[in-house]
Amino acid sequence: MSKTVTGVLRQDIMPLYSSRVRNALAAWIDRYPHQAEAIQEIRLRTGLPLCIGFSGRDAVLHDLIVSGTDIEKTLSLITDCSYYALEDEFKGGYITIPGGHRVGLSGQMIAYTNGEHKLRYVSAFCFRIAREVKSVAENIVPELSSPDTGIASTLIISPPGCGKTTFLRDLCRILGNGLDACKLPPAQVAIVDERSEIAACYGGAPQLDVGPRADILDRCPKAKGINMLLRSMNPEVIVTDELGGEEDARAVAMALSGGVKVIASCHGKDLDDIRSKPYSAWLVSRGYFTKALILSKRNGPGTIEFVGDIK
Amino acid sequence: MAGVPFWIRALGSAFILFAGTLAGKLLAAKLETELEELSRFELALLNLSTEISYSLSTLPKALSNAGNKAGGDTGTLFSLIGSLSGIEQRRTVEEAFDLALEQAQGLNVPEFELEILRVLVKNLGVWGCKEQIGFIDIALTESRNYRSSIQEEHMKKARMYRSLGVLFALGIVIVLL
Repeated sequence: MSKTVTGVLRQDIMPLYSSRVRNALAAWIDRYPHQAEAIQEIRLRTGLPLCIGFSGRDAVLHDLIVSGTDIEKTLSLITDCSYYALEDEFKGGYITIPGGHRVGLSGQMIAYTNGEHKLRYVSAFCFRIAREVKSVAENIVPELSSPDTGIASTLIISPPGCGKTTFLRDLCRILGNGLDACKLPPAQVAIVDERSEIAACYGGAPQLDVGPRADILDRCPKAKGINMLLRSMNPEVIVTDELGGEEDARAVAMALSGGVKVIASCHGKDLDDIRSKPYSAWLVSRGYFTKALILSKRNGPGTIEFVGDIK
Repeated sequence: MAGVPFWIRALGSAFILFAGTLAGKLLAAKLETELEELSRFELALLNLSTEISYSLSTLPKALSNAGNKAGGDTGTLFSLIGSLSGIEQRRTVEEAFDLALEQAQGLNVPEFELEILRVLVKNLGVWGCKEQIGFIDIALTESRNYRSSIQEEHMKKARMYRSLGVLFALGIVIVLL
């Protein structure tokens, strides 16, 4: 049974706040329990009221002005009291906390004479609550696979916020477990999770369910990660998010040429859009990807517009 | 005392001598323990610095490891702070330090060491690696300066307490006999 949003908030996120922020948020949740289930993010900004974000709107708690001390306490806890150990991760602008939730940070950057930039004075957080949606991909697996050849190399295409990563994660889980209905045996799945979105690793361990046969390279550049996994982990399927440049395309081509299946996502509206971009067009026109899944928000995130062969 | 048999007087004198010597030794040991704990504190700080700069261990783990290596009551305090802090315990290092002091009241940790730690924990885990090592170095220097300033005096006092214990007991024995 999946956890409720308020359950996740109380268990994973609120203990990381100072007592005054925690109490104010708890009071708000008690007052508006139904709205609380729709919370997507919580923003803490020094000197400004606490802000609770939903899809397309927000609620501002004017009674609670977040102080510097509140921010310091939260910073200390989300870093496991170890800011120094996460300095490099801060360069990416976010960290992942237990439960797979992502915390975005902003504040003052300091420029060093060697050209390096570091986030030194953190003044705001954006806690984005991880929601795991399981079984969304079960109905499309028959379209993407055959009993003889297994899962086909598939490109998942959609604009941002339509559920690409959710489908990718669910496909990892399904492929790792195997699917009797499609006579798909369990497969060794390797994930290159450059932005820590698919498995949401904390300390190298996945916080979201990516199946029992998943090897994850977290925060590793895609091209480098694909090459590493090919050499080291003997994967049957490689899964990665947000294909972009030439290096990514070459790494994917190399994996596919080596007989490994690749499931990847890519920004775009439809196949024509994909064909208008040089590297994704190259992958599609050369037949590296044989199937496509196109998603949109037409009937809410995760609406399937197309699933089938790329022609 | 004339009517008291000699063997009782001899036994009493031996007891007084033993008690006086022991009291002197205990007072001397207290001073020596303070120096020893300060040495352990410096060792713990050095270990902490190594854990942070080379292993990039998380602070709770680094504190526990540094405490285990240093040993003594100081080591126990470091380990306790480590086990009480962090994301799993939902406590900052400063909060863990206060709680550790409450939980470990029997520990024999020098007051000066606690003062340095009290300042240090405010800056632990909230800075980058270079700055973090800098704060630990400052604490280390303060502790070393303090220890070298009291070391000679403490050793002299320790010798004096040992001698005084024996002499004081001897004085009483002479009077009684």
